[in-house]
Amino acid sequence: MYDSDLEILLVEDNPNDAELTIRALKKKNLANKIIHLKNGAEALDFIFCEGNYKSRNINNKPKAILLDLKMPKVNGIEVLKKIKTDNRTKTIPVIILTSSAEDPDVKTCYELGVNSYIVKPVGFDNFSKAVADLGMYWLLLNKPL
Amino acid sequence: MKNNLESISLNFDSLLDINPSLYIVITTNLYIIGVSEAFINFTFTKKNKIMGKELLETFPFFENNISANIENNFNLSESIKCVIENRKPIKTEAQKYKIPIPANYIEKYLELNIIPVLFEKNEVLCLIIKIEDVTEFEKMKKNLDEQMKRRNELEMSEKLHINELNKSELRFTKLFNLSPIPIFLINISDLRIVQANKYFSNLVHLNSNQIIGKTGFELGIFDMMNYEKLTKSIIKSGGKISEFEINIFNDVKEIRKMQISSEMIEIDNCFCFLIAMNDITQQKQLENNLLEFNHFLDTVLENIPNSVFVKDANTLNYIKINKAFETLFNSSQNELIGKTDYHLFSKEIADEQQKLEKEIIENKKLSIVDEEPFVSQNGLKWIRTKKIPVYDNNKPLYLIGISEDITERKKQQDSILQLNKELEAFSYSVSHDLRAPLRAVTGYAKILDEDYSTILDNEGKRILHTISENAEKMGHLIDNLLTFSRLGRKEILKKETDMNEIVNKAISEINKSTTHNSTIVYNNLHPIYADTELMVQVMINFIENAIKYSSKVLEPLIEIKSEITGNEVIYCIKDNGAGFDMRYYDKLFGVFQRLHTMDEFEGTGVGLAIIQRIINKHGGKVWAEGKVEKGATFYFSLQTK
Repeated sequence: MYDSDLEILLVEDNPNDAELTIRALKKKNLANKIIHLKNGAEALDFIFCEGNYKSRNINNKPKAILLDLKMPKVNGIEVLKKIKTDNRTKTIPVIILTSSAEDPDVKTCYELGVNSYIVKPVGFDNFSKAVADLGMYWLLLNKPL
Repeated sequence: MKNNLESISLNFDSLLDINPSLYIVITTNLYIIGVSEAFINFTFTKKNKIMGKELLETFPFFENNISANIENNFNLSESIKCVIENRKPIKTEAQKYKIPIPANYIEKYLELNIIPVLFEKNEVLCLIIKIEDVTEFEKMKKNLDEQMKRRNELEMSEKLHINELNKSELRFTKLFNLSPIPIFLINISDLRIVQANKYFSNLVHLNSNQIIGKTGFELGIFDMMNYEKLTKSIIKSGGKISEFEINIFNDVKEIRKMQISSEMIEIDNCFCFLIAMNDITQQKQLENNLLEFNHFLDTVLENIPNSVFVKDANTLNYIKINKAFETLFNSSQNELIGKTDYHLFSKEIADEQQKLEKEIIENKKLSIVDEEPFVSQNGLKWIRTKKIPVYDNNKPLYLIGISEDITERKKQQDSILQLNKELEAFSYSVSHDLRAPLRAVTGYAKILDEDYSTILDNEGKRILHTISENAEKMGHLIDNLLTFSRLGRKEILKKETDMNEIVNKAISEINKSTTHNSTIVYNNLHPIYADTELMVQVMINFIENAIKYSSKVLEPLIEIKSEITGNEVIYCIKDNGAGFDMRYYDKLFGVFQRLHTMDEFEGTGVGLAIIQRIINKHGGKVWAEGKVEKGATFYFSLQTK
């Protein structure tokens, strides 16, 4: 499955958030090629084809990465940094998922070259709308280079 | 007539012969009718040769006087005519005559006295010429004149010298009398006062009669012991003393402190001590005051908790340190005075310190220095020092340092920083970790609503709705709380801010999320010097409030105005809404304090607290006026600059 056309990579440690995100994407028919990874370390292995994902073809890039910032072990910022400093991956659009726009990390992410961010609002309606809109935007309107 | 004359002539003869003076008696037509024996001898003639002869023919020398002065030239015949005419005697001045003597002549000074002898009917009978030989007198006079002349010349030549003497004496007298300090002279032998100037008189309230001739003791103006000491030391030093201090009491018991200096001088061949006094009462008083003040300063300096040092501006040597300094650096006055920082600190620190202090002295600017922390006997210390360069006419004199032990403050600051960090971590965790479960609650409630609504009855749906609503409300609370705590830490960046623009921005921000039918009126708001971003927040909160509380009236109207009072701009936001009860004014700006129930108006009770926090951080004030159902007016004031 990893070698088939990859649409969206979701990196989210919170299973509830992950489920709600996937559900929102599904509603927009964007969930058929989604891969959910549960922490930053796993995400890096996947993106750079290391560890359990050694056999994966690195050129099969996701069209967008939805990246949660606050994760155990390797956090979102570190993942973003690696993606944006590697020539093979830096063109992949990365959308940060954050709980608050006040988060000082958002600024750091922009400095690192993030393409967009979504505040995960408490209200579910808003959240699914935001996720879906952004997902659509990056997948359909902003084709990766 | 002739007989008469002859008889008179005889009588004359006897009269004239016994007279030792020179006489000639003549008729009015100048015939000699009598002559004294002395005249005969004087002219080396014989009586019989001249008697009855004409006077001027007989003695032509009378007409040939050789007076030096032509104007005084005297003519005997003319004079006689005058005498006869006026019947009054004439006396001529001394004239020089060349009187012939056998084979020679002599020069004589003669005064002629021509006296008319009057007869009956006031007729001139004859004339007596009395001749006085004033030769000797004239010679003496001439001699005297010459002597006088010589003396004058001598005097003239000596005059310069004499003048000098006179001048210096004059100068002395003038100086003595005019000098604005009391001076008196005492005789060297009996120590009595010879002279005293008017300042001395004024000083001691005595006139010169009461002073001259008295001794200093007798004047009663000196402290006896001291005066004795004074005179003794004057005598001992041969008259020359200076800076001797003595008290003088006058009749009103006023005490003046005088500084005495003296010299021995000679006046009119008499040796005196000249004693000059300088009134130093005021100076002494000032000195005393200064001493007292210095003592006061020293006391202050020694007892203040700040450590203080004074360094020489040129050498940077310590001149003075206080007790606190001694304690702080475990050093002592005696040990440190005359030494530099190299005695107290390591070379690196002392180098740095001296470089900095030299700069301060050069720049003539007070500066506040946070010193490197150092280890004292009481552990690690942080010191903040105010260094003040002191100049005299641009010449650097001292560097004063006043140090403050900021160790405690530093520790507190560090702990505040630590607390802030923790708070930030807390906020971060609140914003992330508290929201995640809330998202789950709302998210799954939504799934339930979307996928299982057919199974749920109305009550079930209502309960589900309440769950989502409350979860969302809690989300708002968290958001507001975070905004509030963020404001506490946020740095304020003030700049010139157009309040019209701010209000504009705030309204369009509000319109994004809220629909309302309020009319908002504002124009020509005064600009302000403030943090633009925060001002938008303030206006959003004020306008949102006004919209919210006036939402139930028919024609909601919000007016925003500003005015300048002094150096402040006061802005006011007025609505025609629900207003509030002034009794609860205290709760108006409190965090999570509300004056309305959720049923009346929604809200978290943070809006006004946020406003107050922002305005207070700007150094301004917020207040409000309101009346239930009569609208509310909120004010805030900010400094124009």
